[in-house]
Amino acid sequence: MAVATRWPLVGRRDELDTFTRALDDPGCQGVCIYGPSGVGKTRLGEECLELAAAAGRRPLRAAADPSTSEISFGPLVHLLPTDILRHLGSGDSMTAGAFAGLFEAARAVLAPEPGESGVPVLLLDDAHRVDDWTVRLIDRLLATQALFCVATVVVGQPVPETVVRWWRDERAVRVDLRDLDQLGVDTLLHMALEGPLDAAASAQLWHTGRGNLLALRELVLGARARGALVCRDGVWHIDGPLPAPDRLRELVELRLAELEPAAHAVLDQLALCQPLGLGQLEASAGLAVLEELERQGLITVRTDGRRESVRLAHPMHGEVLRARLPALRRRSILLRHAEAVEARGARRRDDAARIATWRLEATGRGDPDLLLRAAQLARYAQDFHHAAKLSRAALASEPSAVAGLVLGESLYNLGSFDEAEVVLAAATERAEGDEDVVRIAHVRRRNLMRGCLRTDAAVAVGRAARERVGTRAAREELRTGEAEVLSLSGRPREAIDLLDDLDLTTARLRVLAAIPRAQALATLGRTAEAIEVTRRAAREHQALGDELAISSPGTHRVNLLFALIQAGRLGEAQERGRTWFDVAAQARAPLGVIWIAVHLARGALAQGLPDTALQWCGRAGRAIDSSRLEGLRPATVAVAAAAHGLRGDAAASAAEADRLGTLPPGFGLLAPELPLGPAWALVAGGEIPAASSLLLDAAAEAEDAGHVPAAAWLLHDAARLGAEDEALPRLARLAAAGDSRLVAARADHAAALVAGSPERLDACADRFEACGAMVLAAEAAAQAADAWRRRRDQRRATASDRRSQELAAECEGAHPPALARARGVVPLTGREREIALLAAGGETSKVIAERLFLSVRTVDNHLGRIYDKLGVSSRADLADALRRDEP
Amino acid sequence: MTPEQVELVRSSYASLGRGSTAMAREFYRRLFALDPTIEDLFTDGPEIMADKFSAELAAIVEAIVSFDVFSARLRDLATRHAGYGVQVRHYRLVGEALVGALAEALGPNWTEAHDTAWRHAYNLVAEVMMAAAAEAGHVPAPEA
Repeated sequence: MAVATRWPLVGRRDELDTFTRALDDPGCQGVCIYGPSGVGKTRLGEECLELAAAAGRRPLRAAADPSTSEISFGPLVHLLPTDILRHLGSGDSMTAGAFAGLFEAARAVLAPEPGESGVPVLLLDDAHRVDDWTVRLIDRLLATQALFCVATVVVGQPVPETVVRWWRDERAVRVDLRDLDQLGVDTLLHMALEGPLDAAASAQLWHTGRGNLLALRELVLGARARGALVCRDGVWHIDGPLPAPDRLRELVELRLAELEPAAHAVLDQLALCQPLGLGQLEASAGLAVLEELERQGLITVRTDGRRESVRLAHPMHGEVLRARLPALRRRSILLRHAEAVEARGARRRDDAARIATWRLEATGRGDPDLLLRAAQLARYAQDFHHAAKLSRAALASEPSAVAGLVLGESLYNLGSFDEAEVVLAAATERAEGDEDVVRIAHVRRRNLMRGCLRTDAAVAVGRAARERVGTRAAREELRTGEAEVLSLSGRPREAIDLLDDLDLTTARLRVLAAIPRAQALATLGRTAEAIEVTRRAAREHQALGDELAISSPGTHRVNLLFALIQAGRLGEAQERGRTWFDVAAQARAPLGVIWIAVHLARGALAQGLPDTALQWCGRAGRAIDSSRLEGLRPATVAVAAAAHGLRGDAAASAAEADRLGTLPPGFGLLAPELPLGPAWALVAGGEIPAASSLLLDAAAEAEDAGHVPAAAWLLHDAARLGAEDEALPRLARLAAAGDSRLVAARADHAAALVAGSPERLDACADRFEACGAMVLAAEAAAQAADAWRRRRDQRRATASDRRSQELAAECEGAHPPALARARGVVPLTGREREIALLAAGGETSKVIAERLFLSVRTVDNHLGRIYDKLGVSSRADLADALRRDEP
Repeated sequence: MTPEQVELVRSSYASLGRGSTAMAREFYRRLFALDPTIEDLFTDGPEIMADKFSAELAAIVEAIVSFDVFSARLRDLATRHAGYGVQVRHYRLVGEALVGALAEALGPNWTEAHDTAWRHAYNLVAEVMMAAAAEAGHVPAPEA
């Protein structure tokens, strides 16, 4: 997909309105467009010219460039007759007569020609830089209504008095352009890129470019050229940090270049130390300077709690300012600030962190305690880049175990798993005291398991740590970590046994234990318990606050989502999960995003919604790409393979199944479900018996490991493919082992299939529908219809068929074999249709009989058959049924 | 728009089902309450207007994902509207009325995320339409 070269005009329709009105107003001579650089004045001016041309006026352009700025009338040279200009001489020797002659000549040139609806419209760019003579000439032309002028003026620059008087004397209209707001930027980008923008990319572009048109354009085009802005699956993404292109720096330099020294000094300070208190800045720089900076849109003032803070309006400016600062000046600003804040008592919560950061930037060193505290604050705010930087500096000054812990955890969150392991291994050596040992082991284990995918090493770390600690609480905490490893590896029974053995005396221990417990319970199919555990844990976690070495509170939501899906509350899972996904995406928590997306993909697959499932697979895949947490990749690919298979797309399904074969193993938790991928690839390829065998074998492994809902899924799919006899006893056992209503429904379905009972099959359709498993409900209803037909109950058969079709219609094109089997819909004969139409129109049997020369009894017999075929039981329903059955 | 917002708009509109006609009637009620003169621009009766509106909105919402189809559709719509004397400020009022009617129709299911998503979607629609109208030489007449 290409990026449009001329960007759309967004958010300026009101201004265009203003122009049109001004142009039509006989008393108005022009429009002055004011605004900061890069806001789009010229672009708007060009649109105005196009409107003018469409309205029948002659469009003209003139601009003050450096090349013409020394020459009088420079910008107008191309518009004025050359013979007149030749006689002018230099501006200094211009006489009144010569000027008058020039004026007359210009008027003549500008006089409207036949076909033109009024005087020409001139777009005068950068009117503030135009030479005096040009301004005077244009002024005269405007005053005598020989010309209409659209002038662009950069705010903050000195403007010729004449130009100012155009709007101040109400001869022209002044329009002030501002940068776009976030809504406008979003729309602009969508139109320019012709497609949706990924949430992270959108946030980055807004953060860096704000609403400044030129900045946005430069950022987007620069990123595109560098290959950082790419379109995948119809969605635009930014890979990596957004570079600041050179042209943009020039633009910013321009805006900053003409500032007075006092104003520049304020900006320098903000660039290094923002936010700064308004009172403090006012004292040092004076209110007038600040007001001017605010008017120019360079700073913003906000109320943070009880004080007013000043910040730079554009982060981009900060970058440019910092780059331009000479080293010594930089150092002196930072140190002076650190002293000033300390002198005032450094009372605010984050003052210590800020002082540490400034001293670090100034001198490359700092007080390790302060740096570490700052690092912890950054970590709490999920700002892992900063946390890494600060903790690294702290570590360099004083290699403490805690500094290593914070650095290691930050690196894990940034996806640098190998480096994290090195740092954490070193920290392990240095750890003294149980608290340190336990916390470091926790983070190191997590990094090894989820980041480096080295489960054995993770287990070893836990074991080694247990040897070192003395207190019971420390040992318990380590064991919760072991339980986590067990659960994530897909060994739920062992995890639960271990957890049941523990004596969880503190809130921290309970929360830590709840994470693997909920996950393991859900895996075992004990879903009501799992849900309760997550609820309690979420509440307790809130109260814990800022503790190290503990995962975010969002983890409980992930476990809840998992439990809901295992329980068969699929509709609810989709609804709530969608919201949680948005929350996680905004909080930039990559782990949360991936887990939620994967679970939602699995849930959609269970519901029989292949398109939805594939969308979630896409999102999960993209999130895995950028965070490098590969442990969930196999699950993503397997669900995609199964979804394609469900749709009947054999090629796509096979491709994903092949890919699955090449991937390193992911987390054991979801491993039992992986065979669904290749199985459905086989189904789509028509190899039903092979698929069925694969599923039955895979289910055996899952059953052994205690994965109840997963095993039930595999067995039930085999039952759907014809292996109901073999699957039934195993499913019955699984249904008894847990409380998932979906597992129970699956078992019932197998039983109903074996019994061939239409009533039970209809009931299964109800139960599946209640779970939100639409495709399963559709299949059960179709099977019920077949069974009714075998019982010769045509009416009920048709009703079940209709139900099946309605349900299948919601399944996004899924067509598994059970639905594709012949559906016996018997059409009405010609005679039957005649009678049906009359009856639907309200005629009695007597009247129909007379009309068609039949006996009443014959008509009634026909009607009975008609009701059966259409699946209705009264005349009243006939009309609807007939309409539905129109070819 | 982000893909999540596109999906939210699509799914929330789909969830209205047959209730979309009632929503459309409410939309018009609100729009005319905001500016009674707008009613004069319409010639059809309320039933027909509501049906047309909900059908058109459904089509637009479905089309958002593919920009070509989306903008082609809106170009047609804009050209048709241009003839009726639609002004820039009408677009703003339509946006308010629409978001209000949707919020009411969706009731407890309406979240802040829905509000943001729909505002983004509407702004996109409006800007595309105004750009298309301008391109076709139909400039919305300025306010008198």
